[in-house]
Order: sequence, then C-alpha cells, then structure tokens
Amino acid sequence: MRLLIENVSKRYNDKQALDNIFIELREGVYGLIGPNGSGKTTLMRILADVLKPTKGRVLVNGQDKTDMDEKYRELLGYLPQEMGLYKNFTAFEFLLYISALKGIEKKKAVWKAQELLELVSLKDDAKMQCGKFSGGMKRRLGIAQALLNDPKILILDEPTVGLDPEEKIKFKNTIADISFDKIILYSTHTISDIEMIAKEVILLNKGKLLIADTGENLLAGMDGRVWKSKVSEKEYANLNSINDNGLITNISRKKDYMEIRIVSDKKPFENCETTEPSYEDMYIHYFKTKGGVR
Amino acid sequence: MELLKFEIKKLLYGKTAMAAIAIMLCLIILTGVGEVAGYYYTNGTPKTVYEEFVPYIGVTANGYTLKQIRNKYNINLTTNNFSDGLHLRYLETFINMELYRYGKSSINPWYDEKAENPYSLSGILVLLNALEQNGKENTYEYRMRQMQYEMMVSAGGPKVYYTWFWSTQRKAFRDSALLFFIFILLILSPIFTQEYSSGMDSIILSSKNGRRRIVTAKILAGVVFSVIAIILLNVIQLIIYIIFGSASGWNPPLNSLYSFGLAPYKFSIAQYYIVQLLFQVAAGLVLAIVIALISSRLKSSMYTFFIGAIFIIYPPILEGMFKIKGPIYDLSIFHAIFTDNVFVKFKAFNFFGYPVLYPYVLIPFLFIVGILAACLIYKGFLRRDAC
Repeated sequence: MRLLIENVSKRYNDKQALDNIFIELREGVYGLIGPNGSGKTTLMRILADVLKPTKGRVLVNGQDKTDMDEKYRELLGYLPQEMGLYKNFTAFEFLLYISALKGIEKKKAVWKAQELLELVSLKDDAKMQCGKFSGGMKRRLGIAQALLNDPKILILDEPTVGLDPEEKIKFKNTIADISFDKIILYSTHTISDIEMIAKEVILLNKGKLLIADTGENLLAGMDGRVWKSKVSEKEYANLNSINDNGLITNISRKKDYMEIRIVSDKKPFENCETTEPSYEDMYIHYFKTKGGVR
Repeated sequence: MELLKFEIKKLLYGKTAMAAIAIMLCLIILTGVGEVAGYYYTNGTPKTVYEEFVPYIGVTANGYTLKQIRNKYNINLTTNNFSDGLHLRYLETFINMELYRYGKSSINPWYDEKAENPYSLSGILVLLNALEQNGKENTYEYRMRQMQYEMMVSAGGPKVYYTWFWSTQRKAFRDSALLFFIFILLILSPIFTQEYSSGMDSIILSSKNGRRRIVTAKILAGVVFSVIAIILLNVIQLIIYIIFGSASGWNPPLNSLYSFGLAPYKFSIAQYYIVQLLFQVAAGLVLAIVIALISSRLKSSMYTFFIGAIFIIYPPILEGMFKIKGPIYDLSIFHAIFTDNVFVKFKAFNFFGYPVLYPYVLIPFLFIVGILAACLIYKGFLRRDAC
C-alpha cells in the first residue's frame, strides 16, 4: 500500500498549521516528531479524515481519499490525542459500539473486542463502566478501539501518554508486531517510544517538513556532531559562556565530576570527544528546543 | 440496526434522561388522575352525570332546551365560569348549535357574533350570495366558501351526547402536552452535541460509518424515542381514563364536544382521537429531526434545548407579542401537537386558486421541513471537521 501526502497545507485563519507537506508512506512504522504546534496533530487529523486540508490531497494507491470516502475510512484506525468515552458504557459495550461504527459484523465484533481487551489488559474490567476508568485505562481502551478493524492505516497520536512502563513496552511490541502489513503513523514527544520500532522518522516544525528519513540515516547525519565530556562543577558553571558552541542534551552528575553531552557542529571545547548520536540528540539538533539549551 | 440500538441507549442511559423520564411519567399520571378527580368532585360520578343528562342526549337545539338547563341549574351566563361544571359544557353545546345555524346565540351574551359569522351556515350563505352577485364564482374565495359550506352541512349541526370522558381527556392532554414535548426536547438535545462534549467526534468521524450511517442511526433513534414517547403518553392517559373514568362516548360526532361546535370535519370522536394521535406522531417525528439538526450544528446541548424550545412555542409568542398570524403561525409543529387548533374551525390555504384544507397542508409541510432538516444534517456531517 502506498499513502501519498501530496502538497498538503492547512490554514486556520491567520495561522499556517501545515505548509505544503509531501510525504510518501508505505507499510511500516513512521515516527512523527516535532515540538508543540509543529503540525503533527493537524497532519494526523487530515489523514484520519476528520479535518479537511486547505490545499493538497491524500492518495491511497493513487486514489484520492476524498473519492474513496467510506472505503478510505474502512482502512483507518485512529487514536486521537484526546478522546472521551461514554461514561455509562462498559468497556466491552464501548468496543461493540465502535465496531458498529466501523461496520464490523456483530459476531466478529464480540470476539475481536474480547481479544483486544485482553491485549490491552482490560479483560477483567470489561464490565466496568468507562466513567470509572483511570487515565491509563482510558488510553488502553482507546488503543483497543483503534485496532478493532485490523486497520491498514493506523494513526496514533501520542498513544503512550498515561501508560505505565510495562504497558508502554507491551504496546510498542504490539505495534512492532503488527506493522508488517500496515502503515503506522506514530506521533510522540517521547523519542524513546519510536527509537526501536520506527522504520522512518518524520520531523515537522512550524507546519513544515524538516526531514523524513530512516532512523539510521538521520543518526548517520549526526555523526561527529555529538560530543561528551567530563567536567568539574566549576567548568560546568562556565559552560554558560560557551553556549554558542553547542546545545547540552544531557547532564549526568557523578561523584567527582559531571558528564555532559553536547550537540554541536564543531568541537565545543577541549576535553570533548565524539560519541554515538541518539534520537534525542537528533531531536535537539533539529529543533533546538529550550530544554536542550542551558 | 446495531448503531441504532447504541444510539437509543446513549439517549436514555444518562442520569438526566432517567430523572426526566421518571418526572414526566409522574406528571402524566398526576395530570390525568387530577383531571378525573376534579370532575368527580365537581360533577359526581360518571353514572350520576349520565343519568342527569339522558333526557337531553341526541336532542337538537332550541330555545326551550337552553332555557330548561339554565333554569334547572340556575346558571347566570354573565358571571358563571364555563369550566365550573359539566352541565355548562352541555349548555355550551346548545349554544354551538345556535352558532352553527344562525351565526349567533340568542341566549349567551358571550357569543355576540353576527349572523354573518363566517363559521355559521347562515354566514357562509351570506358570503356566497355576495360573491355570486359580484360574479366571483371562479375565484378562490368562492371555491373556499363553497367547500366550507358543503363540509359544514355534511358534518351536521352539533347535538348533545354523553362525552364526559372526552371533554376531560382533551383538557388533560392540553395541560400536559407542551411539557411533554419540552421533555422530548430535553432528551434529544444532546443527540449530536454529546459527541463534542465527550470528545468522541474524532473517532466517530474517522470510522467507516461515522458520516452517513451514524446520522441515520441518530435520526432514527430520535424519531423512535419521540414517537414511542408520544404513543405512551396517549396510552397512559387512555388507561387512566378507562380505570378511573368512563370510556364511553367513542361514536358521537366530533362537533358534539363543546369546543368543536363549529368544526366542519365529519369525524366521530374515536376517529378524531386517532387523527390527533397521528398528528402528534408526525409532530414528534419532525421535531426529533429538527432537534437533531440544531444539535448537529451546535456544540452545546443547552443552546440546542433553548433554540428547540423556541421552535416549538414560537406560534403563541408570535400571536401574543406581535399579533402575527398567517402561514408562519399556522404551519408549525405547535399546531400539529395541539391538533384541536387545526380541526376546531374551517381553514384552507390557497393553492393556485383552489382551497386545500389546513390539515392537508400542515402535515406535508412538516414532512418537507423534516426531510430538509435531515438533508442538512447529512450534508453538514459529510463536510464536518472534528472539534
């Protein structure tokens, strides 16, 4: 399957949320990364068919999604960033309702709902009313509903928010497991979420596509740009004045010294050596977020 | 079908909905029982009332009968309130007999209408003669009066029948109907808005059936609820009257009911009961679709409720505050709910020079409104962006 996002733009009054995005997606997991307001959610909502682009189109195997209409939505599984549940529905009823919305035949919906409740560890809470669910349970139920129709295009907007570490690992494994025949677009602020599972990483900033490439290529592009150094407290205090020389991405305080990690195009100061770049280094390099600058 | 079941469940499962249903049920029962109890208190049992009026049943109007009743019960027509006693209801039927034939009542100063009263046989004939003399036989006015005259003759003049049950039933319905339709409005207002407030709209709109079948399911859920509720209202009231009152008097003509003395429709009371039920069902059906339209365009159930309420009760507001009448007043859900307004007197609309009776215009008009509202919901939902 080929999903082509062709010159898609979205404008809200005077704000350009997306600007001429062109990306081609095929089966596999795509990590969508960018700071707040970069247009990730807008792009996902356009792909989920809940928002119309101001310009451009989305094609599935060459066919416009607008023309495909129901057939396009039949391919979709969507977990929005924020979703509500019906307080009076039980988890099981909720999944049956979503199954009906997705046009799944009732018999199949029943066993699929049971299977997914087990997958997201909600089997024992199947008869509990959604109004009594914790944030993490709601998120897990949200994940289950997105997978109900075995979607070919799965759009996950920050799916791991509220999940505990064990659930996160389980979820990532599930995504990796099912991704062989699906296009999975996975947006997150937690870079480690996609580090192991993303086939490609798409970086968005201020509505524009910065770069879309495999993780390996992106990290290769960072070679020689990530430095580490052991500094004393005093030297660390002086780093303020060497801000121009790079962005500190990590500080780890040891017994007698501090180990710092810097992203910089050139050697920031003496006593630095290059090190393996990580996804977080890459994020800081591209977005130069305030969190990375000291 | 699955979606429909879930949509009905969503409408009825909330605490507000459950509380509203419980309160409404109590109100319907209390209104019905209260009305019956009130009549027992004023008039005695149905049996005693029946026995008292047996001598007058079936008689046609004449001054003697009117006088008889007036003297027997010592009725002062200038001071007595007509709702005080059942005998006054019968007296009013006698007055209607006079109005039907002569356009005015020779007895009652409240009915000081003229011989040209356009709802009396004499008045219609006066108008028809005037139109003939002016050579206006091919006009709408003439055709309309001709139709009215024929219908009035066919319906026949009002007579006294034992219609105790139905007079009470009409009053109980009037007392509870408006509140009942406001209750329907309360239940149906969140039909679409709940998806925005619950944050479910994104998931719904991104699903296969989330733009067409969901709309069908929601509209059907609203219609099913509304229609079943209306039928239940009528059934509960009927059961109350059968249990506590008397269910006799199904066959007398409609114009034997005191307020329908000048009605031109040749219905029996039972036929009218079914007709009014069908009108209310039609009103409920269209109301459900219109509320769904308002709900689909707004994000707040409260705004939907208030705009829906205005949609129901605008005719009396127009009439009371602005003295506006005409098609905008007549062709409303309000009048389909309170069907007495439609059938109580002759009314027709001019269609290319030919008269079409009010009920035949009202129902198709409401259905057109319903169809347009449904189309607008579908159209809006196909283009809709999630919040």
